[in-house]
Amino acid sequence: MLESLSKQNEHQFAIEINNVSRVFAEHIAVCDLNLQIPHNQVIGLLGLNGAGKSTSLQMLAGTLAPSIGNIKILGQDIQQHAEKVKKDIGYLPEVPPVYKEQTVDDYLNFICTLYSVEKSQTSELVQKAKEQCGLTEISTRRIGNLSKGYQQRIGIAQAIVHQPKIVILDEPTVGLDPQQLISMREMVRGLAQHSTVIFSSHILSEVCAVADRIVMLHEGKLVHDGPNDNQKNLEDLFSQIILKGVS
Amino acid sequence: MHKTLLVAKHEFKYMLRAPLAWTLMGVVLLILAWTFLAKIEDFQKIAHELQNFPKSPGVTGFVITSLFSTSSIILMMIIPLLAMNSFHRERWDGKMTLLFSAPLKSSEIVFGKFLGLASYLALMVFLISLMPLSLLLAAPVDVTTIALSALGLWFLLISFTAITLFLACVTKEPVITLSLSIGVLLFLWLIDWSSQSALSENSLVRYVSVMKHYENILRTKVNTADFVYFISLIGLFLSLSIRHLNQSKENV
Repeated sequence: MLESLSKQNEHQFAIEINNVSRVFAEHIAVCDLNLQIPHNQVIGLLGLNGAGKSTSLQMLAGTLAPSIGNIKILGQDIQQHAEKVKKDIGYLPEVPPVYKEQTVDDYLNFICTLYSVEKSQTSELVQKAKEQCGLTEISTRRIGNLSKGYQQRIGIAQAIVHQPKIVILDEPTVGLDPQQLISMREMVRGLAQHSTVIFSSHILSEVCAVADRIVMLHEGKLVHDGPNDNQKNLEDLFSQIILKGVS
Repeated sequence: MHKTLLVAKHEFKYMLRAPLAWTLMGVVLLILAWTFLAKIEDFQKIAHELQNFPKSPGVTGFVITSLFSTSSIILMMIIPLLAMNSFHRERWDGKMTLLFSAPLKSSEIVFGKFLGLASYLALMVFLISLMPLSLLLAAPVDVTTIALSALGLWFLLISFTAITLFLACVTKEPVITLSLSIGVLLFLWLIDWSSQSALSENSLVRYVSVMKHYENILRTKVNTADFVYFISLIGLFLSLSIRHLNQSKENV
């Protein structure tokens, strides 16, 4: 614990995004994004569909390279030290990346091996992730036979099972029922004790319920970055963006 | 290496669970068993006449070489069906993102998938080899020829797999991968055909011909150059696949 704290202190920020842009053909998905995210903070990334949230998270997870700029995770450039940096990242993409022919246990064990988790720790970590995501009772069931909500939770479990320092969740609440939504919020708050969490949503109330800090994107540009302390202002700003889109 | 083997194990397990893989294996073995039995019957009919010729092919040349030769043509059509989905199925349901976001190199993903398929093909070649090996119960059969032919067939099949994997990397639709793979593999076969006729004098055409190297192995005229050729072909297409995967992270 002390060792991990001293390592964290080596880098002031868990995530540094410096002048990052991403261009697809002639479309600018993310434009000149700059963010510094301290350790153990929960960041809510808010924006309408097509705002650049998923593209930003893909770049943070190292599955997509920025066209311009650089991203540092725990002080290290994600492009230059991809393999090393990715060990510290847990990522849930928009579509949960599950192997439907596997059981929940097999799948989570596979993820642990992918992330080089010590064999002696694997069963304990898998058990913990299952408890956190409410999967204990379905451990031996085939993923393909489970509901969309369960598959989403399995996707979250794979993102946290190796206890990463950075957890990136792209629309984690999609497909969850209201009860699961509440436990999901508690889980994200719990994760922030050991990890930096960045999650995206297009629902303002969802972001406000969990995040310490809210970052709003619109048409690839950063339009708001501040603490989660004034919901009224955020509502006004978000309404303006929605109305602009409608008009 | 450890992670390459992990991906390979995962791919192999997937193949063992996939109904398509078992169906294709069943169909291939059934067709080959039928041709094998037909060849034995033919051999029995002319066995007495063959004894009059000092350099007659014998059961090894007549039945076994013929079996492995037929296997290569049938499997040339089957490999694209087996390998075309290696990348597509993971792109469809987002699992490619899982592999890209994990601490894995593109080379580990490509080699892993290739080794997984190669293991499945080793199983198929082993089952095919059981047919000629069963002749040991009734006739003197050259086991070295069987072993070399099986090794040659495996090298040929994994070369085809490397080509199909590359095409699966660069195309977005499995049907396109399938069409292109069949086209490329048929072209390689046509090179062999042309090398037997009009262009037979051209040493480059003879060298490029996949089947020519395979035939050398089947005729036990094997030399290191034949295996170097297959390894180079596999290396070339796997390197191109790795290069393409690295680029796709930039240009998705």
